[in-house]
Amino acid sequence: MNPQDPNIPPPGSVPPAEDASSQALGEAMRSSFVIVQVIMVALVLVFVGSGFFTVVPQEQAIILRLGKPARGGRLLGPGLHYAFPAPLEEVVKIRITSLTNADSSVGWNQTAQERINGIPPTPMSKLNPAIITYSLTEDTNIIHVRATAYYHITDPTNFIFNFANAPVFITNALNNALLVASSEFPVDGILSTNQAAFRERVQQKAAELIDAERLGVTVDRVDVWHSPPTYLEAKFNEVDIATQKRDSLLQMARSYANTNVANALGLADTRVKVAEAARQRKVELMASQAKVFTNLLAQYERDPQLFKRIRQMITLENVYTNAQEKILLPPNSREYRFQLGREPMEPPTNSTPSTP
Amino acid sequence: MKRKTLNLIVAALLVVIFGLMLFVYQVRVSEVAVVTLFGKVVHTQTNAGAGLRLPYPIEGVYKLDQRIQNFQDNFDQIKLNDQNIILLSVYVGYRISDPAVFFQKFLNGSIPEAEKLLVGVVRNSKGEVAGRHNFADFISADPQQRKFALIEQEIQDEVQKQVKDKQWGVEIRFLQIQKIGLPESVTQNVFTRMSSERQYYIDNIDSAGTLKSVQIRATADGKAASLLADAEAQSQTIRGQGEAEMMKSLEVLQKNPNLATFNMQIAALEQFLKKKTTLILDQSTTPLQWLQMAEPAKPDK
Repeated sequence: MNPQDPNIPPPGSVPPAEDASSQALGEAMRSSFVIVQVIMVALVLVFVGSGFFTVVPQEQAIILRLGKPARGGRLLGPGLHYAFPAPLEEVVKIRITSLTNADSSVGWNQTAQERINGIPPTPMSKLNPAIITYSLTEDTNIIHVRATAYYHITDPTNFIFNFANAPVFITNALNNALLVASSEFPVDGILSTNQAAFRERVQQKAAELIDAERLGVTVDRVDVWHSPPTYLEAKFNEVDIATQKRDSLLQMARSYANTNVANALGLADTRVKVAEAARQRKVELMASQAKVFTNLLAQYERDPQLFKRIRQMITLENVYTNAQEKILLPPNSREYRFQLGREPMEPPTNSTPSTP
Repeated sequence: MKRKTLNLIVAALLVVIFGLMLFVYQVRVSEVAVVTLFGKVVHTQTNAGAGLRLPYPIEGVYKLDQRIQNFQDNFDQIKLNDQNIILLSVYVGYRISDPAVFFQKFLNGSIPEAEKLLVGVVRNSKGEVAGRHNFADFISADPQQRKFALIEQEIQDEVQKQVKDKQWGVEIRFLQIQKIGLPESVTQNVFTRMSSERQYYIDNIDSAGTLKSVQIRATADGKAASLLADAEAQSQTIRGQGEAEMMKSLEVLQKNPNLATFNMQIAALEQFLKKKTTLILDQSTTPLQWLQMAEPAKPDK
C-alpha cells in the first residue's frame, strides 16, 4: 500500500458519505431479511395449516398416505379433521347423498325427469326403442319395469378406489337384473300373481353381480315397480275388472252355498228331532195305555157294562167341563141355525143359547 | 444465535418441501404411473406409494386411473340366426392391464380415446356373437333354452380376444346385457297380440267364473237335497222304530181287546174335545135327561 496514494484516506479518518450509504444498505438488507423471514415462517405455517380440512354433512372422507388408505381405510364423518399436507397425505372426499340408493335407468315408460315432474307416459301404439325402453317377458310380451336398490358401503376402499363410478355400476347391475328377471317370468306373473318372487329375483341377481365384482357394498333392499305398456293399460285393467267380477260372482255363489247347506242342515236336524219326539211320544202313549189297561182290567172283567158306563160318565164330565161353549137345544126343537165365523170366538164368560 | 438457528430450520423445511415437490411423486391406490424421460416411457409404477423423479421437463410422470371403468354401448340392431331382429345394448367394465402399452396406444393414456375404440370392438363382437344365436336363446318360456349368461360370456370373451390381439393394454372385467328390444314395427304386432290375449283372458275369466259359480250353487243344492233326503230317511227309520217299540205294549192290550179299544176310544175322545169345543146338546142326551124331570106341571085348561 502506498501511503502517498490520494485515494487512501489517512488513518483515523472516516469518509462520511460512504458510511451513510453502507449504513443504509445494511439497514435495507436487515429489513429485507426480516420480510423474507416472515414470508418463510408464513409459508411453513400455511403448509402445515393446509392439512386441516372439514367434512360437511353430505360428505365422507378417506385419507391416503403416500397413495395408500391410511388409518385402516376408515371413512371420516362430518367435522374438522387433519391430514399431513401433500405429498405425504391426501384427502379424498365422497358425496354420500348418492351412496344410499341407486335407480335403474332402463325399462321404464318415463324418464326420471318426467317421473319427478309427474308427467304421465304417453300411450303409443308402437314403441321407438330409441325413446322408450322396456323389458321382454318369458312369454314374449312387453312390460315396463324399474327398480331402486338401497345399499350401504361395507368396504370403502374397494368402493372408492376399485371402481371409477361404483354407483353407476349398481345402476347397471339393476338394469341387468331387471332384464334377466323379466325374461324368466310371464307378464301376468310380474304384474300380479308372482310379484314377490320377481322382486326377489331382481334383488338376488343384482346382489350376485355386485358381489362378483367385490364392489364393497351390501344391498339391503330392492324396490320394484312394474307397469303394462301404456297403450294396453286399459285392456289390462279390463282383465282386472273381469277378475274382480268373477271373484264377486264366486263369492256370491259360495255365500249362497253356505246359506243353503246351513239351512238344509238345520232343517234336516229338525226333521230328525221331530221324528224322534214323535217316536218317543207314541211309545210313551202306548206304554201309558198299557199301564191304564193293566190297572183297569180286573174291574172291567167283573162287570164290563157297568165299567163302561162309569168310564163313559167320567169322560162326559170332563168333556162337558172343558167345553168352551155349550148350547142346550130347547125341547122338541126341529131346526137350529148357527152362523159360523172365520175368526175364532173369544171365550165367553157365560154360555148362552143362540136364538134359533 | 437462537434466531439464526430458527431461520436455518425454516429455510431447511422450505427446501425439503420444495425438493419433495420437485423430486417425489405419489401414486394413489387407484392409479398407475407412467414415467417418461424426454417423452419416452422408461418405467411404470403399478403399486401405490411414493416414487422419485427428475424434475420436468427431464422426466414426466403421467398417472392413469387403474380403477374399473365402465361404459354402455349403443342400442344396435342385430339380425339373429333365425332371421329375427333384436336391438341389444351392453354394459362393459374394463381396466388398464398394461399401463405402458395403454399410455402409448392412446394419447397420454386417455380413457375417452380408449372407449371410442372399445365401443367399436364391442359392437362388432356383440353382432357376431348374437348373430349366432336364435331369438329363443334370449327370450323363451323354457328355462333350458334361455342362454342369457352364456351369450354375455361369449361376447365378453370375443371382446377380450380382440383387445388382446390389438394390444391395447386393457383387460375386460365384465360385460352385461343392459337393454334388449324389438324393432318399432314389431312392437306394434306384439301389442296387437297382447291385446288379443287380454281379450281371451277376459272371456275366459267371464265364462269360467259363471261356470264355476253355477257349479258351486248346483253342488250346494245337491248337498242340501241330499242332507234333507238323509234326514227324511232317518226320521222314517226313527218313526218305524217307534212303531216297533209300540208293538211291545200290544201284547198287554191283547189280553182284552174290547177294553183296550174302549180305553183308547175314551182317551181319544177326551183328547179331541179338550180345547175350544162347542157342544150342542139335546136335552135327551145323557145325563141331561135328568133335567126334564124337573119340568113344571102343565096348567089345567
